[in-house]
Amino acid sequence: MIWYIILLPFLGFIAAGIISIFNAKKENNNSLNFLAWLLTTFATGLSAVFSLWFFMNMTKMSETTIVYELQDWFISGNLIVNFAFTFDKLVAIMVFVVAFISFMVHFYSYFYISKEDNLARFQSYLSLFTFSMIFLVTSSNLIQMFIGWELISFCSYLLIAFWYKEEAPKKASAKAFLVNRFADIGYLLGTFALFALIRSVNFADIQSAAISNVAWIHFSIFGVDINYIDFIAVCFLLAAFAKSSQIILHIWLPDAMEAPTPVSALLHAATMVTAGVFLIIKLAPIYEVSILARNIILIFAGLTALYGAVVACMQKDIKRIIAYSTMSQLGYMFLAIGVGAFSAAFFHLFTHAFFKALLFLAAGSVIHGMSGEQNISKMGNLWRKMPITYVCMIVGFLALIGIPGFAGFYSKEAIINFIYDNDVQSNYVIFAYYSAIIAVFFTSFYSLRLIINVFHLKENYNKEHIHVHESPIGILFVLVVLAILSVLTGSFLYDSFVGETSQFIWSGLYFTVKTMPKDNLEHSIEYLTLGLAFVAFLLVYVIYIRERGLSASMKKTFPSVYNLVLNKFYFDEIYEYFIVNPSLKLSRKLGRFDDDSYDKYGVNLFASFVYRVSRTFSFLQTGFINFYAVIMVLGVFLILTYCFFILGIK
Amino acid sequence: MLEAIIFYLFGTVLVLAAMGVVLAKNPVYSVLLLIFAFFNAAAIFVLLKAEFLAMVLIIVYVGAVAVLFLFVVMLINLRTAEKRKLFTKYTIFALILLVILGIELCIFMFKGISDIKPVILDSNFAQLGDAVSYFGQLIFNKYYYLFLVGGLILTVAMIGAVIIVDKEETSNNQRQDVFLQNIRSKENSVKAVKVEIEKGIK
Amino acid sequence: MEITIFHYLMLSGLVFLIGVFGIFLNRKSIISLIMSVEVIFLAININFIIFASYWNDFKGHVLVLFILTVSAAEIAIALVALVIYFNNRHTTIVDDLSNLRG
Repeated sequence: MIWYIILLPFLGFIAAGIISIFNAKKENNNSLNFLAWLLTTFATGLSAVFSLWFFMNMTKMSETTIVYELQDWFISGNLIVNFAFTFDKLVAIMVFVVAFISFMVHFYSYFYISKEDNLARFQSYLSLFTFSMIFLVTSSNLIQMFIGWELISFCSYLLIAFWYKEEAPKKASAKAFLVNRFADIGYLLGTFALFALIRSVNFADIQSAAISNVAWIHFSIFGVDINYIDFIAVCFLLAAFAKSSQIILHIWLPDAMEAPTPVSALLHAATMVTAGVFLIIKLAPIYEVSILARNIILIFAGLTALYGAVVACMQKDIKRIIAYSTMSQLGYMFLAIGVGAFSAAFFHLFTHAFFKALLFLAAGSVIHGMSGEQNISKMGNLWRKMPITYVCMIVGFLALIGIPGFAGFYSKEAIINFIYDNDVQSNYVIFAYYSAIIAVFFTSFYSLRLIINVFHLKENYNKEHIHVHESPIGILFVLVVLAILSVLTGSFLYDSFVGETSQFIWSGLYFTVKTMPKDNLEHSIEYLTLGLAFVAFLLVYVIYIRERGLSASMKKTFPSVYNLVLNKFYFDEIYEYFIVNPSLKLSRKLGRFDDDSYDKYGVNLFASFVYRVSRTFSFLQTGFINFYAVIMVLGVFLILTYCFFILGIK
Repeated sequence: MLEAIIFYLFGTVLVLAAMGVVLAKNPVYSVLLLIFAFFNAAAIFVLLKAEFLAMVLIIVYVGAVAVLFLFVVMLINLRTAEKRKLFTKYTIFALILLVILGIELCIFMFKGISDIKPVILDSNFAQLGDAVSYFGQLIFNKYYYLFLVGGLILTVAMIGAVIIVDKEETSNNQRQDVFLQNIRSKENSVKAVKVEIEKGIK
Repeated sequence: MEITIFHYLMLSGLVFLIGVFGIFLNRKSIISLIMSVEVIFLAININFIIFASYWNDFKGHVLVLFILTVSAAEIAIALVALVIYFNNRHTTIVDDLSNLRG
C-alpha cells in the first residue's frame, strides 16, 4: 500500500507528462487535457485514500514506526545511506494532508486553468510536486530527504513559471529557486556537521541517539568556540527559513503569486512552505537541546508573524494578501517550535493546510469570476453574485483569525498558550508572546478588509466588460469540502494532536511532547485575542465604511509609516541594493578581469599565435594545382636527399 | 648486338618523345607525342620479355586512354589558351633540382643493385615458354584479389565520371552573378524579427 | 656491347626526370600537367618491368597491370573534372584555378 501512496502521484506525473508532449504538438487537445486531468486526479485521490487507510491501519498496530527498506543507496566509510521510507503516525498524517490537499488542487485545476493552456503539463507538474513532497516527508534520512527537498524547489520553479510567456512569472520562479538554493547551503552544512557529530544521517538515529549526551561537544574554527548542536540547528534553520519563508528569506513567497492560483494553494497549504516546518519537527531532538537556535527562532518567527500580518494590511492584490498571511501563520508555527511545542506547531500546520487551501482556492474562484482581476480595490459587492464562494471565504478567514469553533482557533490558541505557559520566561519568549498577540489584531484587520473590499463595498469594476459569475460546480465542491474541514479539524482533532490523547500520535518520537489539555487553555488569552479581533473589525468598519476619508488623512499624517508598509518594508529594494546589484557588479568585474587577464594572455594569446603562424605559412596554399604537384615532387626530393645523407654516412 | 640496337633506337626515341610531350606548345602535339612514347615504351617492354604488358599498353592505354586524351583536348579546343613561355624563372631552379635528383637516383640505383649484369631472364624463366599463360595463371589464381580490386576501381571511376557529368547536366549550377549581388540592398535582404515564444520564424 | 640493367635504369630514370621537369615547367595548362604525370607513370612501369626481369619475378608484371588500371581510372576522372571545369569557366588555364588559395 505504501508503494501506491508514494508512486501513484509519480505515475500520474509520467502519464500526464507524456500526454502533455503530445498535447503541445496538437495545440492543446481538450480530450487529452481531460484525460491527463482524470489520470492525475485519480492517482492523487487514490494516494490520499490509501494514506488515510494506512493511517487507520497504523492506529491499530503496536509498532510506532514502520520502515520500508528499499535498498542501500551508497556506503562510504561510516556513511551508510539507504533508500528507505519511514512511516510513523506523524508522517502518515502529513502524507495524508499533502495527498488530500493535492487531490483537491488537482481536481480544482480543470475548472480553473483556461482551455488555451496546456493543462496536461500543469497537472504533471502538480503530480510531481506532490510526489516530491511525499518523498520528502517519508524519507528515512537527511540525504534522501534532500532529493525531495530539491525536487520541491524545482517543481515550484516549474509551476511558478507555468505562464512562461510572460516576464514576471519567469523572474519570480528564478527568484524562488535562487533563494531556496542559497538556503540549501544550510541544509548541506547541517547534514555534514550532524554526520561529523553522531556519525549518522538517519532520522532514526537522530531521534534515538541521545542528542543531549553530545550537546556539550564544541568545535573551534578561527579561534571561535562553537557548540556542535547549536551550529547544526542554526544551519538547518537557514534551510527551513527559506523554505518556510521566514523574514529575510521570505522574499520569494510574495513573488511566487505569479503562479496560477491552484499552485499557490498547493504551495502554501501542503507542499512547499510546510517542508521547512516539517524538517524542524523531524529534527526536534536537536532543537530541544539547542537553546540558541530556539531563541533565534523566537525572534525571527515573531518578526515574521508581525511582518506578514502588517504588510498584508496594505496589499491590494488578493493573492498577495493571502500569501503574506501564510507568512504570518508560518511565523506562528515557528513560534511554537521556538518554545518547544512541536505538537502545536504540527497541529497548526495541519489546520492551516485546510483553511489556507480554502482561502487560496476561494480567491481563485473570485479571480475566475472576475475574469482575472486580482486587485481587491477593483472588486466589490460580489457577495450576491458568488454567495457560495463568499461563505467559504468567510469560513476560511474566520478559521485564519481564530474565532472559536473554527480550526484556526484551536491551533493558534494552543500556540499562544504554550508561549504563555513556557517554563523559561526569557525576553525572547515575552517578545514572541506579544508579537503573536499583536499579529492576531493585524490578521483580523486584513481579513476583514479583504472581505469588505471584495464582497461588500460598491462595485468598482467595469460591468460591461466583466460579467461576474459564480464559479462552476467543481470549484464550489472543492471549496465546500475544504470549508467543512476547516471547521471540523480544529475541535475534533485538538485532543489527538495537542490535548490529552496526543501521546498517541507522538508516541515513538524521541522528544518530550508538550501537551495542553483543552481545559487548560487560558481563557484570558482567548478573550484578549477575541477582543483584539473585534477592535480590528471595528477599525475596518470605521475606515472602509463609516469614515471613508480617514484612511486618506492617516496616509497624510504618517506618510513614512504608510510607505514603509506599502513597500513591504523595502525588503526587495534592500536586497536589490545590497545583494543583487553588488553581485552583478562583481560578476561583471570578474568577467572583465577574466577577459583582460586569463583570456587575453592565456587563451587568446595562443589563438592569435596560431593564427599568425598559419597566416604566415598560408602563402604555401597558393591554390594552384601544379604548385601542389611541385611541392609533392620537392617532398620526394627532400626525402631522397635525407636518405642519401643517411646512407652516405654508412 | 641486336638487343643493343633495339634498345638504343627505341630508348632514344622514347626520351625524345617524352621531352616533346613536356615541351610541346600545342596540347594536341603533346598527346600525339605521348602516344608515340607509349609505342616506344612498348618496344622496350618487349625487349624485357613482357610481351603481354606491351600489348596491353598499346591496345588499352594507347587505344583507349590516350585517345580519350585526344578527344578531350580537341573537344575543349585549347589552342587559344596555350600561349606559354617555355623558359620562365622557375626553369633554372627546376633544372638544378632535377640534376640533383638525377644524381641521387643514380646513386641509389647503384647502391641498391649489387652486380650490374645483363637483364637476361634465366633459363627457368625462359623455359616457361608461354609467359602469357603463366602471367594469366598468376593474376587469376594467386593475385586474383588484385585483379578484382582493379576491376572495382575501374567500375567506381566509371560510375563517378558518369555521375559527375550527369549532375552537371541536370542540377542547377550555382554561378556567381555579380550584377545581382550588387543590386541587392540591405532592406531587401536583412530583416530584424522579434521571435515569439513557441511560434518561431515562419 | 651488352645492355645491362644499368642502361635500362638510366632510361627509365631519364623518362622520370623528364616527367618531373614537365610538372615544374608547366604553369598553364592542367591537361599538360596530367600528361606529365602520365610520363612519370610510364617511367615507373618500365622500372617495374626491369626489375621483374632482373629478379625473374612476375609479381612486377602484376603490379604494372594494377598501376595501369589505377592510372586509367584516375585519368578518366581527371578528364571529366577538366571538362566540367571548362564548361564552367571556359578555360583550362591553371593560373585561374586558384580557388583553393589559403
